[in-house]
Amino acid sequence: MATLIMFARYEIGFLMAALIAVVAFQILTGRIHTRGLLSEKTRSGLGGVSPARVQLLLFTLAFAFYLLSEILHSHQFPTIDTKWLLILGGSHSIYLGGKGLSLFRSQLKSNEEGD
Amino acid sequence: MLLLILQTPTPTPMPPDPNFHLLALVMGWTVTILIAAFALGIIYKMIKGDINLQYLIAGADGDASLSRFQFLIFTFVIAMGLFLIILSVNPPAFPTTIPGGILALLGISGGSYVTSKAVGANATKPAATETTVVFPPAAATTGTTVIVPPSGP
Repeated sequence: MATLIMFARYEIGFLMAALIAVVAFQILTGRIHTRGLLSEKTRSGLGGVSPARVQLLLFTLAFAFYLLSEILHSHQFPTIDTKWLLILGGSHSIYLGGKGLSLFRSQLKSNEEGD
Repeated sequence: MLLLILQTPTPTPMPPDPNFHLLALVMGWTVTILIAAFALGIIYKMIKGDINLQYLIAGADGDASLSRFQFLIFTFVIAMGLFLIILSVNPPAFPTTIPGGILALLGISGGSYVTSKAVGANATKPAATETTVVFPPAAATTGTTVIVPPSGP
């Protein structure tokens, strides 16, 4: 039974690492589309770099590293402080608000052009 | 009566059947090897390109979506964390509790993804001035198609 447990342990570890590696490699080589990840989206296409998207991306990466380091350190899921969740919620609100606003603006603009 | 209950011999636990242990071992190996074969097949197809991941983090318009990307990152982090936590105890065991903060984190991320999708779907809808009304429907016509342009100012 000990051999089976060890085999399953290595198997799941290897498969998860392989899956993450494949996705990361394809993102880095451009096989997975990342065009427009940080660009503002309007009705006429992609706009410039959106600060709301940049802050959300940075916050996401920082939070992911924090979470992973806590798990590696304590070997259990950390109790996430409410302020972290509030920051995450706020960050998302800024992103979604910005997205909605830019779409609303471009819709107004296209309506004016139609008139 | 009480004396009778007290005198009743307690049932002795049955010794484990060695055949049952063998069966558990065979089933364990079968499931482990099957999962490995399926997963290896999927990863091989991903590398070869048979499973197309091109639009893994793309929205409906084909451009990359930050909400999907964030969902992907959090999913990988939580999955990796869960794997490490399960392996940190001997024998490996699923954690007894998952803190509410982790569930809230995934909830916020998923909620943002759904909201973003709704906003995007609303944006791709054509404006009223772009709508062309065709009457009667093309499938039902046998003769001339009458196209009614949108009423402009």
